Amino acid sequence: MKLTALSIKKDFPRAGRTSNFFTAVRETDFELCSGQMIVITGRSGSGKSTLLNMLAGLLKPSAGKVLLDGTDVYSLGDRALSMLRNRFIGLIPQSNTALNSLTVLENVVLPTVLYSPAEPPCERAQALLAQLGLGLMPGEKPGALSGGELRRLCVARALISQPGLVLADEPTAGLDDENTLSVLSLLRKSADDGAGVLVVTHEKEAERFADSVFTMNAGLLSR
Amino acid sequence: MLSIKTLPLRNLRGYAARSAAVALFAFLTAAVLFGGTLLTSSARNSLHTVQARLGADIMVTPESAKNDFDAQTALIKAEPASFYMDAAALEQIRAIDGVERASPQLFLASAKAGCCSARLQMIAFDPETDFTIRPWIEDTDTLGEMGLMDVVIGSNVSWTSASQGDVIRFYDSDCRVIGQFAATGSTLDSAVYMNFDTCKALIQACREKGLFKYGDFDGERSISSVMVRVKKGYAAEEVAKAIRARLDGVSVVTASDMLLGLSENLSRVSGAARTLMLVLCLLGFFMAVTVFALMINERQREFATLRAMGASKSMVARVVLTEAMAANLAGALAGAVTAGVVLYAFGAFIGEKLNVRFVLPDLSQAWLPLMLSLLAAGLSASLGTLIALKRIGRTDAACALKEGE
Repeated sequence: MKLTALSIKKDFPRAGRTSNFFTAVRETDFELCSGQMIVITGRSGSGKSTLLNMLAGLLKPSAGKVLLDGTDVYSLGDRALSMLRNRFIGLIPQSNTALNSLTVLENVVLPTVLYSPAEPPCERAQALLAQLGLGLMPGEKPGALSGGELRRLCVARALISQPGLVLADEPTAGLDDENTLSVLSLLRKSADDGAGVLVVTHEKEAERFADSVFTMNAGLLSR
Repeated sequence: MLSIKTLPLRNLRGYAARSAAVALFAFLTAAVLFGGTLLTSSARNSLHTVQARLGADIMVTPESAKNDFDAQTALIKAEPASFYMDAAALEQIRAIDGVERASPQLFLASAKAGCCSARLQMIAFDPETDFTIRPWIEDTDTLGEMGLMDVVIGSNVSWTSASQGDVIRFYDSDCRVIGQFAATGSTLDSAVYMNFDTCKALIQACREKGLFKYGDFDGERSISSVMVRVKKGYAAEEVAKAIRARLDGVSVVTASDMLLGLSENLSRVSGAARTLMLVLCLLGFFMAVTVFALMINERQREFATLRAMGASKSMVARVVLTEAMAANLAGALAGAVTAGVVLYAFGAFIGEKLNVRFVLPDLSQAWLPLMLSLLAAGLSASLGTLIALKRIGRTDAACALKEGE
């Protein structure tokens, strides 16, 4: 599986003005292949998350193309693009998000039931939760979890479908050293198992797990 | 098992307070819509039934009965009364231009004493000339022709079931109940109908007990009222004026005068019910939109999370719409059922308090207002959801998923 970005850029209109834009991501080419773990570091506001969201099919670039195995993802309709994201991409968003009405375990397996009537993979979810130190709280509601626990829930949810691509936005934010290590190890293992993994982070420790490291500075991606 | 189909229900349970608020507004809206529609349509039907049952265009009663009988309110609230005039009035009325038919009636009030089953208005009619009561008896299941001591009772009259048949007792005389009228929602429902011979026999029984106070009553020459049907092409008001001019000592009222009290109350209650229904519908809609707008704000990240894990916009919309529909319809159904139960169980009491008589339809006929109430609740939920979804559509999932956004 190969995710390719061809000359993508993203402009946002400045608040309160109609004709003035600022560029969050300058014209960029990028490639993520199966079995590869890439880490992008950079200061806050440098455009890392914007790039990741464009690659995830959540944010349409102002110019350029995002190709998944040759398919221009933004040429697809909403349903096809959503199904593609569900099937091939595990996304760890920047914020700690979960559905408050579901338990931890149900939140983790939720991506697997969106388009499939099959029994959700609860055993795999339990195993992932155990690896992330949440093995004792599958029945808890997200409201009862700490910020770090919610973060790990998001990691488990992104990995539950064993996606071909994992796009992680600050996956270790707010975690202690031990949990940071277990999250990064899990992401590395996903890459070793064949997934293409992109990690956007401030965490220096992540670079140790990466095959390639990029830096983002004022919307420009460089090695 | 967790699935995309069960997710809305899980969300409703997860956000119990919000779900309860949505359901509560739907409950109130549907209860008022269903109850109000049922009440006003029942009152209107009742008015039409009374109008039809009244059958006469003009009613003539002795002027001396004024203290006992007010024609304008008699159909809403009337104490059983007895009053009499000379039967000569009947021939005088028949001779007036514009009168097509005129038929006498004889009234007798039963006593509260133990000799009578209940305090009721007895109305005797002349089978030869009657055109107001007989058509209704013919439409009612009766046990054959009405003979001596046979009666047909109004819908509110109960009687004791005896082993030899259904009997009702007045002045220690048993009358055979041969039928019962359908309800009209007026005082006609509390009357007992019989022929002249039965009424005269009961008057005699009343006399023997020393309870009859009308010394001038002449069994052969006394009547209580004359019901008049006007010829086609004549105005009831004009004929009534002619009767007033020709006869002394009588009170002449037209059917529209008699129905005035009923229709005035009906208009008052209908107007109030319509206003209340409109206000509550608007309020219900406004609250549904407000609650959903608040919910969207509160759950924007949840919806963005669903989008991030691959839910399409239409899937998210279905989840939100199903939640709204389920909460609204459950509330609306509960509201309509509660309103129905209250109306059917306490209809008489409510009618008395509102001073409106109404006959509720069979439950099988209540489905249309029920459907309309549920439709209104569904519509309110859909509109509220559409506005909420528009907002979801405008919100960028990527933006909603950013820390601190």
